[in-house]
Amino acid sequence: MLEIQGLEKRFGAIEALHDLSFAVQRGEVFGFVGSNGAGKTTTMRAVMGVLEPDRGSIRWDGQPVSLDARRRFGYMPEERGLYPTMRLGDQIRYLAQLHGLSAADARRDAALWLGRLGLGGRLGDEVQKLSHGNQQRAQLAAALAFGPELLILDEPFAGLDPVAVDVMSGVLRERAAEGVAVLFSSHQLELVERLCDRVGIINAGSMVATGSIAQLAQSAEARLWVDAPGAGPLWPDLPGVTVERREGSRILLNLGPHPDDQAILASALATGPVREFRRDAPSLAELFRSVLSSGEERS
Amino acid sequence: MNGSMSHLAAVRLVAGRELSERLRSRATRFISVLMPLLVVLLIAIPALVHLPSQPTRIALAGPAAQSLRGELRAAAGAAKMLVTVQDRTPGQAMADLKAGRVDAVLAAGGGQAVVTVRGSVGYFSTQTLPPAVQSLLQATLDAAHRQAVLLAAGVSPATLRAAFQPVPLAVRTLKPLPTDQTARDVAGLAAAMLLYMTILLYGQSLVASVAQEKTSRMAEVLLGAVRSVDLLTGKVVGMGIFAFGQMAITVAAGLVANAVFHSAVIPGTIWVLLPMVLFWFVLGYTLYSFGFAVAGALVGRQEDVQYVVTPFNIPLVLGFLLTYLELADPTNVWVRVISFLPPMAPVLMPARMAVSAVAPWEMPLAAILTLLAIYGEVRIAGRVCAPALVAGGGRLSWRTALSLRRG
Repeated sequence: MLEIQGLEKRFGAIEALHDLSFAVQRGEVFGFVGSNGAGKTTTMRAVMGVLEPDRGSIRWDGQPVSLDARRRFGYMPEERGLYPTMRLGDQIRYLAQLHGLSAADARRDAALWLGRLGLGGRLGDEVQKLSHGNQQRAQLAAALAFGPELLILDEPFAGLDPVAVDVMSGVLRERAAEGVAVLFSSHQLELVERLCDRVGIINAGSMVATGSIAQLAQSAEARLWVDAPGAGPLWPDLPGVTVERREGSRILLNLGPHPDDQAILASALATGPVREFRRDAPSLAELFRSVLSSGEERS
Repeated sequence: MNGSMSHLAAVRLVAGRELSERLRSRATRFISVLMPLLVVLLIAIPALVHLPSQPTRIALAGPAAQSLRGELRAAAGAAKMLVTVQDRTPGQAMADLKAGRVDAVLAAGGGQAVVTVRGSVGYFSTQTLPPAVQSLLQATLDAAHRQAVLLAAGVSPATLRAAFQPVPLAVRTLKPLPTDQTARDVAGLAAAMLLYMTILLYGQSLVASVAQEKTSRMAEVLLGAVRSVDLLTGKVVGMGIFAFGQMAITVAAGLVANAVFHSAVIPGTIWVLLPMVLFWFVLGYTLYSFGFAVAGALVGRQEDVQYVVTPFNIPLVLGFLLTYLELADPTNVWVRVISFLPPMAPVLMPARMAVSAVAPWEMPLAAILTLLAIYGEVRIAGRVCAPALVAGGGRLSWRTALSLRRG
């Protein structure tokens, strides 16, 4: 398990990370979301030892992260890191060997992963001759080719076409099923929602929410969709319940801090037939906005 | 997968990649062929231009000229010149000259002598005789004239022969030099040039290689798996093996070319000098390459490379230029002192050893000082490189780099 505890980091006057804590379990896909400059990349670079935090601890399986541990981490930096003029196959094999694989295993696994990611025919090509999307796949292959226990992927889906997104998503789910801990950042919130077991929302260097989408939704204010064509414009006149939006005869209600959906149902039935009555499941994007706006209100 | 890896294994992997990528590069392969070729040409061209001495073919036209045959041969023998003399009628002599069968026609009579040459236009135009041959003919005519005058005045032939015997001139030197001193000077200059060129060329390649790792963000990936010192050492070793191979091929090509063309005399000390050049190449390359590697970590973009290498290029160039001062005055105290300083020692000390006799303690002292400098440099490189390689923004100053820590 990756445990990040009380991480702090300043760049001059800017506080990049403030008391940041979260954990990623083995076998879990953890989505790391936040605005630009929120601290996602700084956190990932700290895990990989690229920068030193001012305070806090980073542990893997209960031990402080050492170079030997990092050799078991697959890393995909935000700004891609591959030798432009080196042959693709040689490059992935070399990186796999640096992470501890024998030459024979590295050759086999490099070919295997490049093949799986659709680059099997490009082993002899220089990286600079690959398209942006293919370089992205190559970078993922570099992170995967040595059988890592933890994957740290900074914006792995940025700029990928839908087919490549599907391929990469499938690979990450499969790795998690094999017991690999996956931590990745993305601004594609629908994708994060679909792919992740848990999500962490970071804002201004602090983790403001973590949990599964369902857990995050529970912590958000309860909302109801009600379709009661007989309801008048002033309905419902119940304490704490407000109308968030109307779409024809459909009304989205915000139930407030003390929701009593049965009272609302009774009130709706009193106006006539009720065609729809269901809880609204907020999307991650809505949760994200809600969490950030509530954070801003608090501050 | 095993997470642990020894320093040696990491260095070997990095060095192996550096070497194989260097061998794969088209530009490197071109330079690898070009350098030995240039050396071979440098040796062959002077040898081909100054072809082994051919005899100067002189036709003596008519009886008066042919009467000078004895004097001409004697004078050529005294001057150690190769001359063939052929008796011809004036008509035959001119025909031979036009056909290129002789180089000059000498005609004499009536108290006068005329030398006719063909003359030609080309890279090496010859409008007249070589000065030495002209002096030889002039001396022959003068001697013949004086003998005739003296014989007419009644001087006996025996006295004449005694009077015209050449008097040997011996040259003494107060401080005799080794007989192969010129060869040693050439070898010293060649050693200094080879070391200077190799360190400069491959040091610059190393800067570019490290800079590429930084600017392509490759360093960020690598430092997750390798210690920065192992990464730098691997790069230095990989490039060093390639540079050494290149230098060995160039030296071998030069020695073989010299054996074929006999362009330069090889000094007797060559078998001491060659291992010394190798030894100082290892020390000098290591000293400079760690510095160059750190310099590569300072760049913000590839174009910065020329700026960051300047502090290393200056002492390297200075060491090479001082070699000329050593050749001009091997007793110069300043050159002697500077040859101990680590930045200059790798080029200057082997040159001094080639040119003049150095005291037995001098080379070990210079080597120890250079090793200490390398140790200090590796310590600094280990501290500076990791944060500098992952630092964002533009080119870093040395002051900033020395104060950096990761992040």
